[in-house]
Amino acid sequence: MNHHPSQSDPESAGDDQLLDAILRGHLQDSLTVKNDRIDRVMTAIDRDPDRETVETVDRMPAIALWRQRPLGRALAAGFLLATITGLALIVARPLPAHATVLQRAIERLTDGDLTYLVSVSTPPDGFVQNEGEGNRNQIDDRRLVRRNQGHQHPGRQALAWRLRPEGSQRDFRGRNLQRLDGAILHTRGDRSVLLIDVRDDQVLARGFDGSEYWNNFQAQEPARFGRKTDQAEPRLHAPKNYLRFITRDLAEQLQGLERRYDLSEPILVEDADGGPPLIRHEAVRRTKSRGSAENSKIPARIELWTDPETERIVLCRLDFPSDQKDQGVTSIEFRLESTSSLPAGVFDPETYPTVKPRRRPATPSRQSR
Amino acid sequence: MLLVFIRALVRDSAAVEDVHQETLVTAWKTLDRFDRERPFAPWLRGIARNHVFAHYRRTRRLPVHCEETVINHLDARLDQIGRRSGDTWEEKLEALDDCLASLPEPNRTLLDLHYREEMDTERIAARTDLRRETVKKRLQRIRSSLAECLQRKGVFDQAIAD
Repeated sequence: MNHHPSQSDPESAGDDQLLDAILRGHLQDSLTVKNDRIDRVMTAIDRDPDRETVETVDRMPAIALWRQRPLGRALAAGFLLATITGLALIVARPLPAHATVLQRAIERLTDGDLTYLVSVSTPPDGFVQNEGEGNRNQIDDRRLVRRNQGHQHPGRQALAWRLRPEGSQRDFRGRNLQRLDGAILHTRGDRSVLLIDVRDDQVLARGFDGSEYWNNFQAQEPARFGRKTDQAEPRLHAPKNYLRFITRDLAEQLQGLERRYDLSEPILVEDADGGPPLIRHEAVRRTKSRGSAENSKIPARIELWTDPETERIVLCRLDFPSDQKDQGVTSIEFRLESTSSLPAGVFDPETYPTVKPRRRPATPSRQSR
Repeated sequence: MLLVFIRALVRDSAAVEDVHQETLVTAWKTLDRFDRERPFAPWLRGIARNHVFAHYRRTRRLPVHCEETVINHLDARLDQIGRRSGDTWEEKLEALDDCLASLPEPNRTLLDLHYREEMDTERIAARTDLRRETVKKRLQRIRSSLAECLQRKGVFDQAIAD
């Protein structure tokens, strides 16, 4: 592999080196490696942020627009990420193509400390999955069109993370997902922890340390060989596949979107109340994937709303089909609550007191009678 | 695409990261000099090229694979890939995933050991109980096979498989 072609054959030498470089990059560059690389460059720029200036800057509207923003990490990050994912295209086209926008937003999921609020709901009427059914009446059709083409701005709730408001009561409608509704998801790089109120002020923490899952639930029986993390958790009633999907590195999950989903064009949606616009992306699982055995384990539809200024995903809505046809779709929504630094230990299992199994009531059980 | 260009010219991983960082910092500082009428990627590679040469000046050695003719060919190849459909480097090289997936498992393992684990042929030979020459030949065959696959899929033209 380290063979160097002769000087007389520069084309072969160049091709050989190029293939070598492509393979090195393809097999070595994980998302973490890429982010670390970006961090290092941003740090270097932070250390010496002065730039050369020339009078002709006004000839470059796209770059001039960048320069109007505050100089700092955000700008540097935007510059670098864009460079890595194809800045040439962005300079050539003021509106970057959807894949680039989405890619940057997904990459930002592992950038810094993020806190998402999880909410669960039954599906809204007119969910896109129903489009293929032939027995809808005209009223339903009209409603579908309005819902799916209107792309209603999620409103200020999706931008609440900027203000870090106090938590509010959610309108709970899901029958079996009460505990997951209202949960908090913290992420930092490839680590994450999902905090779920269980009972009596106890919090179930289910985390991922970058390679392994952990939780703070004490099993009713001593640990057995080969027992998986999931089996030690209390009955949340929420199907385990939801938990598995959302506690695994969400960014990693979303990375392969284009392989299994049809991605919509990004749409800039204005807020009717005068708030900042958001960019809406929609990913609908391809039909050929829907019939698989893993049907309910992967969202049938993913809706992402990104903030164009920070390129962060501020709202992520996952629609999971039910195992049973008559139960419809369950929507799990992640809303960005905060980008503030999280306290040390948030991602450490030792931080969370062990949650013990609920004791049986003092009254004799039916079995003992 | 910038990293691929640098990696094609610099073997040492740490040096690649250094050159990449220096290139981006320089690009950041001199962004105003960029002529919008011209394509951006070659401008960035021009900066990278200067930093690669500076790196080899520091190490007092300009390897044969950094000759001007080779670099010009690399530039042309990357321009060619840059014109492919897709917005990101990964999209433009989507065919690579298919080509890698078509390799037999033992060959993918060899590639992993060599590129992901950065093992040389001697260490791979020790790990796999193969002779060093065998490892070397197999890796060469795998690369030829990948090159041909990429050529079939239109990523490279004929010259890459020669």
